Amino acid sequence: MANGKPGVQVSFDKIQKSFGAVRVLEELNLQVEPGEFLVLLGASGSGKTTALRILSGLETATAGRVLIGDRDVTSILPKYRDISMVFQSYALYPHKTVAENIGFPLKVRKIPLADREVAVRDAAAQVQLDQLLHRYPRELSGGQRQRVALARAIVRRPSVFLMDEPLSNLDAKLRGHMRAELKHMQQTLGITTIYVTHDQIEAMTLARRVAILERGVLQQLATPAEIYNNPANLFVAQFIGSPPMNVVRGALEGKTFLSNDAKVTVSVGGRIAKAVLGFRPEDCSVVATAKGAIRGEIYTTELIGDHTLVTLKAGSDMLTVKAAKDFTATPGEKAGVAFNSSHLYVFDESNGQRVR
Amino acid sequence: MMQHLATASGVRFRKMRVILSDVLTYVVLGLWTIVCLFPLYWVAVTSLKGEPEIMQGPFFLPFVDFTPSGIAWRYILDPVNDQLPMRFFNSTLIGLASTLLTVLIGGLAVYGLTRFRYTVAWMGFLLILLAVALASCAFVVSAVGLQVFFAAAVGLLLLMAAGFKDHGPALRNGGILVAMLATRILPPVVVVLPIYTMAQHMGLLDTRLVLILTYTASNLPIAVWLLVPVFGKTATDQEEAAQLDGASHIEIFFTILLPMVAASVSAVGLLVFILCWNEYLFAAYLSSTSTMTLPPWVMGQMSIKEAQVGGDGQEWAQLSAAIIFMVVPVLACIALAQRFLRRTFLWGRLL
Repeated sequence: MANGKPGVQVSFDKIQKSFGAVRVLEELNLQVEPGEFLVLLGASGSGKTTALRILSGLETATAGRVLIGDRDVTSILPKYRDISMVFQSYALYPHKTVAENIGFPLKVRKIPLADREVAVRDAAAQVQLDQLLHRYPRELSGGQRQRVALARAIVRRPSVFLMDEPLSNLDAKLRGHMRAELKHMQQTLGITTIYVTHDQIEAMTLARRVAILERGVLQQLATPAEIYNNPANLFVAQFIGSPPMNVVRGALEGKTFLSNDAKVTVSVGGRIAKAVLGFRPEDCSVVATAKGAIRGEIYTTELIGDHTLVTLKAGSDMLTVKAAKDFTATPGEKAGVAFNSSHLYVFDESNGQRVR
Repeated sequence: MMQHLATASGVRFRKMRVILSDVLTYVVLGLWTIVCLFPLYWVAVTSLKGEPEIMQGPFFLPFVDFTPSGIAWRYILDPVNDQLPMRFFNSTLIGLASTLLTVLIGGLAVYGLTRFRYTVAWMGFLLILLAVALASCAFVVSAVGLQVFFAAAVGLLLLMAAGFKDHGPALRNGGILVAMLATRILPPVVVVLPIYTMAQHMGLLDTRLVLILTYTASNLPIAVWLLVPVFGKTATDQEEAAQLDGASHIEIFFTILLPMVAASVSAVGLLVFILCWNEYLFAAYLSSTSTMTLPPWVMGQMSIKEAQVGGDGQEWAQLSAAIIFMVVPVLACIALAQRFLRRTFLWGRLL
């Protein structure tokens, strides 16, 4: 909001997309709040990039509407939608200098040269590129190229930013640095941003809300904390979190989850013949077999540094538990898993939905 | 055979075989090089000979067998004596203009055919309209050749329109591309007379324009098919970025796409230029005194010289010089085109 222009709302209204017989997006309904940083998270083929391209206008939806602000832009060309996009490959113009690359959106809109130069210098300063304006993209490093792409996106102050995995081509250290820069920049400018990624860490750290897509279906739209602590279905529960959530297959009877090796009291009730119990590695502990709600044997222990990852074999399930860094055990030793019931999740295996 | 290779003498035998095959390869290639290059060399050397050397048997090496003289060259380059400079100018102008047009139209065609989708039924209707329009023209025109041409065009268009259905492979983008190639299958000899008649009617005979247009039309399919692998795949990231930045398609084509593929497009342009430069058939029919290009003129000179055999041997030197004039630009174009293509392969795709 620092530049005075308020963010705009973006809506996907019943957006469907098929490529011939292949259904890529199934009726997507999504509303992005003004000035929000929304992350579209999903694996490859989940439809997240397609949704972004439909929003940008580079693809047309098979059905549904796209609204930017209160304008229906579904049939409007990309250049009239007042958006800008950062591509995964940066899409810099190789025959133009950095300054010409950044100034291109203004040049095609016939902004006079003087204003253009000011805007370019301003945008370059915001991404710390002012010393490199005369260079060509082939003379720049990956991080510098990415900043040129960013500067080109912000120079016009559009209503919406779109970003298609912009950090995936950077090395890990630079990625962390650029994440912070991106977040700070978006908060300063206050422009509605839709960010596509398959990296859950980027999603968790950057987003105000995360929209998880799987096979074209929106799984959950919530804040990172909500998604982590209150997953809507089994897919979300297992997608977010590293190491992933443990799952045990069994049945739910009243308020007890039962399986061959487990008898767990849960906070939800019901009768489900095929249920799945989920719990995160940090919400449980390894105890003596008698005290544990789940019985099994130690499979391996791995010292990470600040904690130890213990893998237990319970029946056919492999469970991971985060234990203290001085935890020791011998493989094959019988042990049990105990937890407090507030961080247990029960899912119906037939549809993956969370039992509440 | 195999067991012999393991022994010491077997190893020696294998080495000998390798060296022998290398030597043989070079000998064969060397002989073929001589076969290919000797005529060029002979022509070049002949152009440097004075009269006595030409008529008195073969002299191969300048400064050794004979003293080279620039008489022939001075003669042909003087515009008073012959018309070589004029013909060279014509060839160059027509070649450049035609190449530019061809590459431009071909490039735009490839851009359009690969980035937009064309619907079938619409095209069919348009083609029928076009056929009707042409049929009307055929009635107005009096020349028989033209009427035949129009009738053939009408028939073709109706056939194409009849092939349209709402489904099936009818004229979509791929079909249009194939149709463009198909026009090249037609032997040019077949259309020379109709084009001659058309040009005569329009008063375009012996003008540079008619040659430029004819060359553009006949080389367009080649340009299109050479350009399809260059930028005929789906739009690059840079093009999409430019669309989002607000550029129109024409702007994208000229300011973003062409500079990125400049090397390959230049190579295609050079090849098209070579085709125009060497073109004989249409130039011979459609041009005479003022706009004749080099190939028919050189042919004409050759016939004249042959008729004068036993006369002035100097003319053989002049003819040789003219031939060198004709060949050198082609060689230069090929060398340039090779450099462009090699650079593209070396650097791979631009950023």
